[in-house]
Amino acid sequence: MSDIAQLMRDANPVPDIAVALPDDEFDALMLLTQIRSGNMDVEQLQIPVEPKKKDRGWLVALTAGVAVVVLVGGVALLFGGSETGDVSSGPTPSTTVAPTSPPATSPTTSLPPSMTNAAVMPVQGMFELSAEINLGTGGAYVLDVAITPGWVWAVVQDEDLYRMDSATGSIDTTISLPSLTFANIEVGDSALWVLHGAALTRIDPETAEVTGSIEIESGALRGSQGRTRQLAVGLGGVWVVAGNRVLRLDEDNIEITGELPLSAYPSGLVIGADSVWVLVYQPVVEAYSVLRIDPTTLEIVATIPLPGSVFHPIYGTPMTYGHDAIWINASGLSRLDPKTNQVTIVFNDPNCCGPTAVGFTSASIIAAGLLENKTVIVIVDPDTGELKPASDSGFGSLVYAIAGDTDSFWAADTRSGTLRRFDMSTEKP
Amino acid sequence: MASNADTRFEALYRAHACAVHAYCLRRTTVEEAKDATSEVFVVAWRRFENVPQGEETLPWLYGVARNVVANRARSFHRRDRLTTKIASQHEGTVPGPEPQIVRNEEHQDLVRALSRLSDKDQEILRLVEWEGLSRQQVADMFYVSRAAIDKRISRAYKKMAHTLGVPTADVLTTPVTVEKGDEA
Repeated sequence: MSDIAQLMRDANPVPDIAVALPDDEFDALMLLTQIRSGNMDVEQLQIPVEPKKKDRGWLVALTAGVAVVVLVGGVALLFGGSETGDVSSGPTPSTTVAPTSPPATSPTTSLPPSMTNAAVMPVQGMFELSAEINLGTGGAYVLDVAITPGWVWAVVQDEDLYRMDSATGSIDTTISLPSLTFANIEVGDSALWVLHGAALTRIDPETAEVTGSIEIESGALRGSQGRTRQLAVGLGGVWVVAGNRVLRLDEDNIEITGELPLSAYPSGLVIGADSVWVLVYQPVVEAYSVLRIDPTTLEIVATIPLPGSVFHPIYGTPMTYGHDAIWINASGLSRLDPKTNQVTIVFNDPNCCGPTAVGFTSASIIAAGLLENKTVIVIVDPDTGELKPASDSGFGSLVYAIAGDTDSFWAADTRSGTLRRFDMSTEKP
Repeated sequence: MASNADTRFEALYRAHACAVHAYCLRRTTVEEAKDATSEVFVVAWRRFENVPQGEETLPWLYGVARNVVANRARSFHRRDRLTTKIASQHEGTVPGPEPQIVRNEEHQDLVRALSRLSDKDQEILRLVEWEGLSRQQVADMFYVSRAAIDKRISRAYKKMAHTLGVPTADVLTTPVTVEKGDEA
């Protein structure tokens, strides 16, 4: 036996395969596999879906003449990754699916004729960088960011939760919490909520004191779900994805008041338009779907397929609610109108990336993603469709979290441990 | 009522999920390993009638896992290409899932030496030493003779010994008989 062979065996990172997959994860993984392969009863999710469209949504957007598509088409241009071409030459029609409601009537607004790819290239310093906070050196990984009046909050992987003065950017309070390998933070009416590992913790945003916590059976943020947002607050409760269940918890007592088991593992959830929205992968048609859930009865009132979506690991923020729409980052970017349950593909990228984070200010949609190997942030005016490529501003890694305020927003340069605030009132011509 | 195929698939999963998961875990991150394991069995389900039986099952699953992990690594690098570029400027190495598999510092040198081998030689060594496959099983996986695998392993160990500064004489190698056309 060679010494090198023995060294190889000693360096085996998983010497005992029996402990590599604990029983609960073993079962969960089998369930996930069965769901993906269609090898289980997923009757609840078996709904017809239109054939997949392979076209890039930004071309779709530019030729459809649909106002909503137009306004977000710029985002699509950025994240579709195209470098050349006349945007007015898109060959394909818009793709929409409205499985549970009649199609919406959309106003028609033409894209400004000057809107070309050149217009959406990142422009350095469109808005002033009004604050920058470095939360650590050598690998600090910002998992999430949130805003409460006067404060900005950020959670750093395997470190701490930080509260910072939003005016000065100085770190005010450091809160140590266990299991911060993955964490989400959400702002409620009077509390900040942190989902970390299997724990849900409530924090008073004024005093920065922990005011309650609960351990959720079978865990919440684990495995691949830990990469994405699985926490939402609103409609009289705190909503958490735990395994393949959606849980509703009472905000005061932090007790589970409702549970909806699903036949699929949710990739994210969001609150908006008086409903809970859950993103799931639907193996029967090999596409993602959004489940609309009644917050009172916990019944699925609509199952809305995302045409053209394919399974791909989702990172960052899978769904957000802002400017009267649900925004979904799965195989690209889609807009779901809650009034009609109609989905509009902004762009479709079955191979890779959509925006990694979408946020909102009172006047704009903000999306972050990659363009030509640079992380860029794009501002879209929801009324006019005007694009304001904000900045490439030195982001060294992907942006997995954006938190918008009235006229500014914070973006987390995830892997450098840096938060940056952009002041939109400082817009330059 | 579960179908016969369902029952057989569940049996396949229960027999080999831990091994496949360990395979993925040795080559990628904790998070990716779960997804990759699931993907392997999704492939197994779709090609269920082609999955070989008996001792050939696990090497077949490893072969699928190899492709799945490689595809996901490519996707990972696409998504994280900027991070990769930035980090490589500072560290002189390309961070991907691979460097995360061994966290114990004392094994870093060995992993570094391993990384200097060709992808194929790295995989052969891992299959033999980490997955515990026989050399014949590995030979069958790569559609080459047992002798060709012996030769590759011998050369790989010598190369690693040189990289690690271990005297070559200390590296006992398996006598090999190279058959014509074996060398891949």
